[in-house]
Amino acid sequence: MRRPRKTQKPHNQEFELRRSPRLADKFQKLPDDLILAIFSKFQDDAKTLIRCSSVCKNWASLVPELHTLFLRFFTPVGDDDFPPCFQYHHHIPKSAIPALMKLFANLKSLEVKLCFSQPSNDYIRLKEMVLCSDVHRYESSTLITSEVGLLTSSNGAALSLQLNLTRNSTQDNSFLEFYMSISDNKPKSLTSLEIMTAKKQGFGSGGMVFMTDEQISRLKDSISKSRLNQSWLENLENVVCWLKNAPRNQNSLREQVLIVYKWDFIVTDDGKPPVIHGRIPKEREIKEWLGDDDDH
Amino acid sequence: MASSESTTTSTTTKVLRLKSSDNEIFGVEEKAALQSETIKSLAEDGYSEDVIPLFNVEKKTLAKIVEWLNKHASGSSKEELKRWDADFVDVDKDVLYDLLLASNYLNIEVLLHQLAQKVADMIKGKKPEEIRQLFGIKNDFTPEEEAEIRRENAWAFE
Repeated sequence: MRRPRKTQKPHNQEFELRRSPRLADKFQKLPDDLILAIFSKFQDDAKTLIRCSSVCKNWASLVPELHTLFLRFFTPVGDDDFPPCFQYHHHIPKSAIPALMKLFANLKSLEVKLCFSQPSNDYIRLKEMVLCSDVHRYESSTLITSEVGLLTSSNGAALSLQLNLTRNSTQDNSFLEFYMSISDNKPKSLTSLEIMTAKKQGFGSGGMVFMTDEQISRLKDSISKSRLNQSWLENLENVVCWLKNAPRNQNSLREQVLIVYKWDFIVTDDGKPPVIHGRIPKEREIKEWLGDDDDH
Repeated sequence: MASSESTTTSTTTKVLRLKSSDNEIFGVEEKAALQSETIKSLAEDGYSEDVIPLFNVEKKTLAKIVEWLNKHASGSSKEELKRWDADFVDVDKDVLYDLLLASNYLNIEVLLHQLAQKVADMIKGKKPEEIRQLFGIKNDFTPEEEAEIRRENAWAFE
């Protein structure tokens, strides 16, 4: 039922001739909201956006109007300085952060995937919500989780904990340094920042057990001393929360263990030093935080 | 004056008559036409029994738009639509430009995003000078200004 492409050839030719002198600057006259609709297709492609910003002054003025970005950064660990993933990712070097944050001056939401130069099973995820940012007061709330191991049981109730042997603190430090670099340079408009490490594919199934650092130490002690059963995980003294992944096999557990920590940060203009208030998050907060969890 | 397309009226479905800026009339089934928010609100304003005038769309462009509206109301499978859409937006830059403006004016969000994606695909991977050439955009930066942008974000120009 498709119409033939060129039905009225003579008419079209005349039309082209009449219009061709002004065709050249057509796109230059594209309304700003349409240019922004096109730019919004590059939310995960800062490289193209930067190139667009050097096309002409109008485009340069529109690129900073974007409010949401998804970026993939790469940070070296130790002496290695090439990315570990061989997929066709645009890895942005960490050194690009200040200029990027300056360019995207009206950014509201930034989501970052961070690749380390050394592959690892470790999964760190941080989410910062800015609750208040005006001249008198800055207030943010940050939740961070870091995967530390796997809690399993098979054919019965005995739990065993397998900690990530590859875990190294250099990587944790790289992560925090990266976060600080974004934090120091982020535009005032930014209200939501999320940074997560690129996760090795295929790892993890089952549910998630969120614990504080101290609870994990207690778990390690308990496991070495006695046999624990699943009801131990349901006791809120032992864990922050246990998010089960239904439907599940009752006889076999395979739960990711994550350290979780939350802090509130408040700076006021009354000359008092900044307040950093660390606390254990509530189950509701963790669920909210995981709300849009998808592995992209 | 009515084009032949408006005469194939089914007795059971309502047909809206859309008039292009150059006075061509297109008959479109209501279900298809109402994918445009602009047509929808014009129809609600009482134009539906009469001809709906679309002052900002030429017949050449409106024909394409009507083609899209009909296809997207035809109940084609997702795969079939995807193939068809890829073919639909595979047009030269001038047609693409007219379709962008028309889909914006007619407020057909799905089409607008397909067209924006098509333009985005054309831009992706190109250098600034190639983008300018592609769309006939004049470089209005001074050499100093341009150098400054390139210096600040050197990694993006490699």
